[in-house]
Amino acid sequence: MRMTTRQDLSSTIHETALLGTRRKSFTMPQVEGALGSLLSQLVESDRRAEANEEAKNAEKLLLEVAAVVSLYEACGQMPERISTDLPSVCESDASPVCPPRTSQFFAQMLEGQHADVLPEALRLAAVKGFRIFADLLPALLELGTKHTDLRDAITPVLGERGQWLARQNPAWEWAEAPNTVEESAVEEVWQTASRDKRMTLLRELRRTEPSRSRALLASTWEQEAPEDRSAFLRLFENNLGEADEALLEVALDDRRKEVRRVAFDLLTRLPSSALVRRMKERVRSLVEISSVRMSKRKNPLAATLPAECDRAMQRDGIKPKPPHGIGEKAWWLMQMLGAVPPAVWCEHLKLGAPELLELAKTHKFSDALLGGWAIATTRFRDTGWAEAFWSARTPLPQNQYGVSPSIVEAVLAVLPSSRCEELLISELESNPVALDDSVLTLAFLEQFHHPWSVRLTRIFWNKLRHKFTDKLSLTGAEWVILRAAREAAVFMAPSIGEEVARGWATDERLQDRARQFEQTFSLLSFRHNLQKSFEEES
Amino acid sequence: MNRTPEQILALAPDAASAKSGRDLAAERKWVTLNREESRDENSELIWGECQGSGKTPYRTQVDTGDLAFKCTCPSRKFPCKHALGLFLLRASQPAAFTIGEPPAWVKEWQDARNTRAQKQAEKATKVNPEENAGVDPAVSVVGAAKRLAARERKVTAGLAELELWLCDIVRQGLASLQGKSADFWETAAARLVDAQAPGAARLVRLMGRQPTSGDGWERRLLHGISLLHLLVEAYKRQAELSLEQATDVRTLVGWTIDQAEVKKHAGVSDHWLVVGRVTEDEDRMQVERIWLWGAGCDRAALVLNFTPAGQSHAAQTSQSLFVPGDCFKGEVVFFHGAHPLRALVKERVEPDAAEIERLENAFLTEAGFAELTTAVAAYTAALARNPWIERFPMLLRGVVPQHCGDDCWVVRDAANHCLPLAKRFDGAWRLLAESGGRPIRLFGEWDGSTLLPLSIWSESRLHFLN
Repeated sequence: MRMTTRQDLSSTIHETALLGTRRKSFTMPQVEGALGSLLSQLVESDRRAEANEEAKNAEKLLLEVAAVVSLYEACGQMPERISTDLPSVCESDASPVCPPRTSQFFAQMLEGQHADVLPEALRLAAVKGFRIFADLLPALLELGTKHTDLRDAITPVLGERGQWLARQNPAWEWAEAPNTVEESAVEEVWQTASRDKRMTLLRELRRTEPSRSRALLASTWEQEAPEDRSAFLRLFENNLGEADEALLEVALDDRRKEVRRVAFDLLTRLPSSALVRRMKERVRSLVEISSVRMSKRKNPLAATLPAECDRAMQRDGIKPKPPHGIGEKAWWLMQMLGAVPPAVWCEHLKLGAPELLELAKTHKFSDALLGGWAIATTRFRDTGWAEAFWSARTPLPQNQYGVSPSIVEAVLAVLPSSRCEELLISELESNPVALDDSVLTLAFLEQFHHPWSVRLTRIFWNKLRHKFTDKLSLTGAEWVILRAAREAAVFMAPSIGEEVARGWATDERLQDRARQFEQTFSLLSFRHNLQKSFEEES
Repeated sequence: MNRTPEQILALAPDAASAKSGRDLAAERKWVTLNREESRDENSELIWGECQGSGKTPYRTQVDTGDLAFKCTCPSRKFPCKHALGLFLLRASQPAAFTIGEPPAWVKEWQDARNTRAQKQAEKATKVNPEENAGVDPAVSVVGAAKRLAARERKVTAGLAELELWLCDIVRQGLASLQGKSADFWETAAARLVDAQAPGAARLVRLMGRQPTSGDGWERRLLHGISLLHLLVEAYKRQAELSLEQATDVRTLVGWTIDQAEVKKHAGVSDHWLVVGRVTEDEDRMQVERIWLWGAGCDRAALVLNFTPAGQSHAAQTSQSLFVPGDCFKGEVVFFHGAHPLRALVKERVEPDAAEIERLENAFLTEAGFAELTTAVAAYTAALARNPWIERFPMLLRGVVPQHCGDDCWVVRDAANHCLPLAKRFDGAWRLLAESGGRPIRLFGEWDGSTLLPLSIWSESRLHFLN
């Protein structure tokens, strides 16, 4: 009789069990080796059982044999040998790891608690030269993979270990140190690497050698996919200079709209560019101050709408089709004004920004004029015009069609944060109803994404407490303030968080109100403890 | 000993409590924060009043040494978020607490605990028969024997029915099981529960998960049913088995062993380190597995805690709270068996700091397995003694975690042997991050085909991975 091997027996058992003994019968084969002698013991005891008239059916036999084989295999197993290369070993880290309490806070934020404090915590860690402890690195890298806006804040705190870990997972490629490209390999990486790697390379070159980055992109410009062309060109924002104009002019003729848009955006940031010059030529004659005063009531500011949007204008980035709610000619004028430095008008019309804004407010084309100048103020970073906009409080057409920035957006984009804070403080101090009906102040507070000074924080909360003292129920507008305060809590000065929270305890009604601010206080105290923890010993 | 926030949070009964506890670890949430003048550095009494949503603040107190908690809040969780918050605050902002004389409500609790401890000590020294005072001992013994015999008959009948059911599965073929609903398994399990064989019922439920467990399910299932059949067979032939083997078989079928009885035996005195903890839900029961490792005897002990689902750990005594990385001196008694793993902590004393350090160093260099072949050999030896071992504790001294593509991970030793990690383990990247490509020490459960890591040592401290 032929001997069966263990493997054969094992597969016979499994086949039979899978199909069922109803369909496939099972008989005990002769098995070789030690397993065979084990199984023969089993058969022997069965025979004895049969002698005792205990019938043994095929199912029981199969289960018994299966148990023996299964255990025989389990007991005989050995760990597998692996022949692939070991992972590389990480260099040891020179930079210190965050203090233990800070690590705890990071763990908490990475689990989603007070997650909106992460950008601040990452920045603080980077400033102090700390790295994040190894156990949190995967969560941190996952976070950066999902939230691209946090990547620049994450990379400095990864340390050697984090860089090393990022190299082990293709999804974390973005976190690898950018200067890993050797000087001699630049061309090759640019020609052959993945899109993320090429982006990193180009971004880095843009920082250190703008001309080199330009030459590199120009060398492959024609072959790039359209979405890559616009993404790569977008990087030219950094260190943008007159030397970039030639390539941008080429891009202005691109087949793809997105690429043309990026080129237009960048060219209009170069006040000396041919595009801005052409635009000036077009628009100069359209806005004038009439020298003869016809009547006192007549606005001396004379604006003419362009008659058409020709090919040349379209090439220079003027979109012919207006968004809903604005006439097409007014739309063309607004865009043209937006592409010319606003200072041009002060020179051309011999009037200051405040006067021009005052005249434009009541003009029949006020939307086009104010909208265009707001775009230009933001684009050319004109501080004089930004201040003038803030003082004039001109309602901008932004609410209707979202095509030009709001005053707050313009002010925040142009003025330094210290100046913005001064404006906010004086607004809160001098305007008794600053939080009552001024949507503007609230919008400013909400969009002011810079650390608040202790002074601003204190003034804000005093104002708020004052406001809520006599109120029993909250109006809709006040709920908006509550939400704004909660969102601004990541920027407030946390050192006076306890003071701010305690200030409510004097009055019973206030205590009740203070509950509404619970989350805000909790965030402030979290940030305070976080900041303190950085001072502790590692 | 000073607890780290990580250790304190590990005491939380669930994630929500941990989160709320962290929120409450803020000075302004507390009306008062006090501590007793330290008895010693290892333990102190802290108490505070926390303003909740009600008029009167909750009164919370913690004994940091014995890990005892009390709070006047209505929460059934234990420890509650207030106790956790208070404890965390003490760890993070020790200066926020002022030294004071315990007020009446703190003293009351202290006294109550002392009285309880005394009563327990007295009860332990009492002789057994007194418990049944008033009942004729002979009558009670007869009654117990009758009940025992009745259960024995029910179990035997239940297992006979199980055997027929298993044979029927094999007759119909495993392929037909994939279409079966959960009821198919649940009904069989419920019958075994009725037959007072809850252990066997548990095994049936475990098998019920296999048909939907992915590739290779039929192999795992056949392994499961054949071992269950083996158990039925072994139960019939208990008389032919050794006492230890018979105990294993009876325990597995569902006969419980009186813990007080176990504690009567002499245990293993050693320094025990808490190396792992897992909580799993098993049919209306939450099972907590706590793994201890003896520094001197170099073996593992498994402490099991069962909590009916929906109930908190309120019934737990401080004795059963195990903090990751804790080391205690004590006597651990193993349940009888061919390869004893399950154990009870009979006596627990906190050693002093210097002793802990010495022990931890010794532990780091000597305990556990240096090679995977030895670890697996130890497993197979255990399996030969008790073929039903489900999880085998492995303390591995020097392994490198390695990613082998997709979600396949292994740990690899110096001899290039490797063991695959369990697919459900989600901390593999963290293992890799902590290793930095260098060998690490880890503790995990080996189920015969994959390893579930439960804790690792990094910067010479132990961290739980779940």
